[in-house]
Amino acid sequence: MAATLTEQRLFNKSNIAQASLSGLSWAWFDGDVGALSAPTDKGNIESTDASGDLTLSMANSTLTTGQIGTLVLYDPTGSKVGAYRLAVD
Amino acid sequence: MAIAYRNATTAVDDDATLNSKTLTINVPSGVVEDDVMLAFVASETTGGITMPENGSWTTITADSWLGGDDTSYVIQYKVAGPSEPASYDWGAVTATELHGGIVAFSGVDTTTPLDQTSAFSKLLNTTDPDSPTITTQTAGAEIVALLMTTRTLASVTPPTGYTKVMDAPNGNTSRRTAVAHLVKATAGATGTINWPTSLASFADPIAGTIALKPSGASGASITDLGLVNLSSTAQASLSGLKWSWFDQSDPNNFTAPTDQGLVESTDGSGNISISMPNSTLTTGQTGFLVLRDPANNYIGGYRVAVD
Repeated sequence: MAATLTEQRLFNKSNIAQASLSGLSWAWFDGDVGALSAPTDKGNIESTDASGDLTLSMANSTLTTGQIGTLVLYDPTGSKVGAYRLAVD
Repeated sequence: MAIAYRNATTAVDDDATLNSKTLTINVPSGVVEDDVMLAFVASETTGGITMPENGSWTTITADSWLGGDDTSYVIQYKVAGPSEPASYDWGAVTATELHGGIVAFSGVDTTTPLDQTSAFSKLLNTTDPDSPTITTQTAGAEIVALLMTTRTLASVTPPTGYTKVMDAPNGNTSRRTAVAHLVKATAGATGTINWPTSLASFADPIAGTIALKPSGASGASITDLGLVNLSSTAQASLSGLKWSWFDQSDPNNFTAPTDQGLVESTDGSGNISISMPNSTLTTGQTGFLVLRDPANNYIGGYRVAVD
């Protein structure tokens, strides 16, 4: 079973889309903050496109369409971090 | 290392059938070197209780008194060595109805097993005993609550949230010694610990509280991390915050969180302080905190150096 996130637009706290980021480090959890297990999937070479959208495949996730998990992102080059509650495709 | 309960044994020297004035308590099954054993032994008479001759037990407290419910009791601890005997003997010259047990824990600091000065109360004429409050210094301390009743009870009900691991009656079941425990994740006051045991009549129970200190690194903590919203406004007096802490600073290296919680709060300045007793990071090392405020639909990630 797997899950995906398609074109999740990332913004900074000034509400500016984070376009063309690369080398993003990420971890996906099938659960909620405060009750997380180890991430089901993780990586360190993700990118956002020119619109600031991120697309991820989580091959080990057991969530089904519409279910919510937690994504943690880190951009080492810009020292940016973020966390998101997202519904999978 | 987190403290964990290992095992317990109880024993009784029944005057009617044994009357040996010696209480032989087996070392709990599974005890290994560096476990810490607590012994709780009581009798229905004055004159004190003698210590085992075949081991270096350290007395935490001991007392005896005459009048009302004559009593002697002792509470001791010992760090298990590489080769423990099968049992230890406690006794007394004028002992009557000796009873008690040994409770063992792993993960306790073997140099300084007690996190804080223990507290004991001799409660006179009460039917509703409380173990006294103590204030722990170390996150992850093991709170051990003890009760000795001087009235007949079928069993002892442990305090709310505590796990009972010892409940030893004397030979005629007129008294019981009980031990219950829980891990206190954050340092601070325990508050009084109520034993919901309504004694049938006025009694003179003994109630005590011991805090065992975890071994090795005492975990890590973050102090006064300021939370602001997108407008850089401090998020003061938030409550019910959910959080997860990772000892890794890069999500690509994440394993399971070492510590998590569901009820943190920010103070009046928007600062949050968190203790992570299972973290192995040392001062200045960076980990990752994920925080969510369900009430305000906020979620955030932070790379933070621990205190």
